[in-house]
Amino acid sequence: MRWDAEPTARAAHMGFLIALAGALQVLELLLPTPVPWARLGLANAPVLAALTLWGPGPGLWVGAGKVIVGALFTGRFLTPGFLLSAGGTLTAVAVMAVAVRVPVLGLVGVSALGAEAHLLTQLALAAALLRTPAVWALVPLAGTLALASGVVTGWVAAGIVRVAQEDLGYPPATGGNRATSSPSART
Amino acid sequence: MSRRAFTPWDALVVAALLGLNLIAWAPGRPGRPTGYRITSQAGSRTVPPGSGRIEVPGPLGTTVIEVGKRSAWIVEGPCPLRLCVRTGALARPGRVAVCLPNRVALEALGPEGEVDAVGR
Amino acid sequence: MTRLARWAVPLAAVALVMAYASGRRPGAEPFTETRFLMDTLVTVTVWGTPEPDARAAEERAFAALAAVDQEMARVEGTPLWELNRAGGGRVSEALASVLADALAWARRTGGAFDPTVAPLLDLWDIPRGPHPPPSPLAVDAALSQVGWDRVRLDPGRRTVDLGRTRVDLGGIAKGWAIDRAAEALRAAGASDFIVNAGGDLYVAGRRGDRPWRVGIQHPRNQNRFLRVVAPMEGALVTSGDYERFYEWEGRRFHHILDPRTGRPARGCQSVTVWAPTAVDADALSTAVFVLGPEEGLRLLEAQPGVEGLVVAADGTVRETPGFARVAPEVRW
Repeated sequence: MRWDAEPTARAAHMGFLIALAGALQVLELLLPTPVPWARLGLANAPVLAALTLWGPGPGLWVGAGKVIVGALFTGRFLTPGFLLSAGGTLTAVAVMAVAVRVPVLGLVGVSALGAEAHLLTQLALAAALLRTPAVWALVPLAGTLALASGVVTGWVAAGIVRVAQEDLGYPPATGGNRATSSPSART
Repeated sequence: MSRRAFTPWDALVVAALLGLNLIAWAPGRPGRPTGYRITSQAGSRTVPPGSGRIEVPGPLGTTVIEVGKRSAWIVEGPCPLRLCVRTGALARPGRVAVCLPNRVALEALGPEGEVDAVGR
Repeated sequence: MTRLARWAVPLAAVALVMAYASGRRPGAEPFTETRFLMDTLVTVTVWGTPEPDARAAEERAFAALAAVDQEMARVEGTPLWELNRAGGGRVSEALASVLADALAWARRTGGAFDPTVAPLLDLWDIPRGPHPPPSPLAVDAALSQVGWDRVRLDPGRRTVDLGRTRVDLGGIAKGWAIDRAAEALRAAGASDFIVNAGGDLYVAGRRGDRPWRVGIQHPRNQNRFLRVVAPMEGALVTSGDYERFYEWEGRRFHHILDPRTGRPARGCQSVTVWAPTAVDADALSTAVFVLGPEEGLRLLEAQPGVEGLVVAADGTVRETPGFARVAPEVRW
């Protein structure tokens, strides 16, 4: 079955991406990790996919959805951990929204930049909250792990985008040039 | 053409970010001590990590130092306050354990410690 | 564009980043030398000077410290010992200068810093190790021999009348000696160095491409720093109840005595003072410790050009508004 990229269909797809991001955010907690605070970061893939397909506004919606849905499911809404997650995601979306417009970059590069921005923002917030600069000592290890997860996430996001474009009929966008209004205005 | 997943520029971005992370690590991360300096009335000498048990004579008696692979500490001393033993293990360059009455000091050496001096 | 050409630019950039990262790996170490002097461990650290010059400069610094030690330690045979025994007399320029500084700080701190506490120090004898504290009667007897205002110093003729007190310069001579060592290092051509006399510091210049990092000891946890700072050029002197102490029946008895009560001061765990000279920082850190957090911080704020950090007896940390400016916290 072939869908048209009609506003209603798009809103439904966005809802699907938000749900996917929220679910991944929760599921990742169940995966074993080398260091307790490390996450695979797959929940960022739907965010990047939304950014690529529809532009910054929808990307931000999916990002916010991921943070809020994930926090509600895990009972961390409005806790310090939630603030770190929200701040990190916000910066990551901003960085990726800019990077995705660079034509020579693939989604892996965009995702890597987003992951690094996400981590550095979280560390900055943690340093401010804990009032200690010692968290910066985590940059080498945590940054490298974040980078690796960014690369994986980029591949996954590219997969989502391919499905959307080939099976759901979205046009092959290279940047945020198509999306100018927020989805709620259309529904 | 659909959006590419990976381009040569992505390799550049990933490598540059990796480089940035590693640079943050290279100069700033405090390392393990590369040696320990033992100072007594007789003067100073430097011993490598893993030197084991060293007995240092002083005016009050013998201070016993254990130099392990990752840290070193004063095990036993003849001083009344025993502050040198309380100091515990030195695991970072720049840390010092001192027995003032017996005139014995143990310093952890290395190119990059957390600090260059301790105000105390 | 061929496949190779497309990869060439990114690959070259990768190589550059790698080369830069490896170039930043630590190499040089500062030149350090350690000796026992002034009843403490003295370390002089010099950066960036070729080793023979650094060694010569450090030698001069140690000589300056040793000279002060041999004159002002309260040990048999020193000029200070003789002065205490004779109850007065003519003193050297150096001793007159330190005595003048000591009396000036005693006046400015209302006697919280007092160079005439020698009888109390002898009575408590903290370095001897755990023993019962002296009786109130004995403390009162020692207190009656304490009083900086009884000392008469004529700076011009360099004559002193101790007025039946006995002087101990432990709270200030170390600072004065650190200043002389810093002078000696500068005269020998060093501009980036740390003089560290038992944790009392004079910090000058930088360590190559970064500032010197100084950890301020946590007063209750040997393995922790209260803060790591990059101090401005000047002295950073700390007085703490953990430096020399013993515990007796659950109470901590330490070496910083309150000249007004005759007992170990109870208001603080530690006090760190930054001042342009170590002699001022040394006297002030003792005085602030004795006065306690409130009065101590007020004293610091009333003195121009000095800043301080106080850990109160309950463990709370307070500082003067300018402390973060002269000793900004650094990340590492």
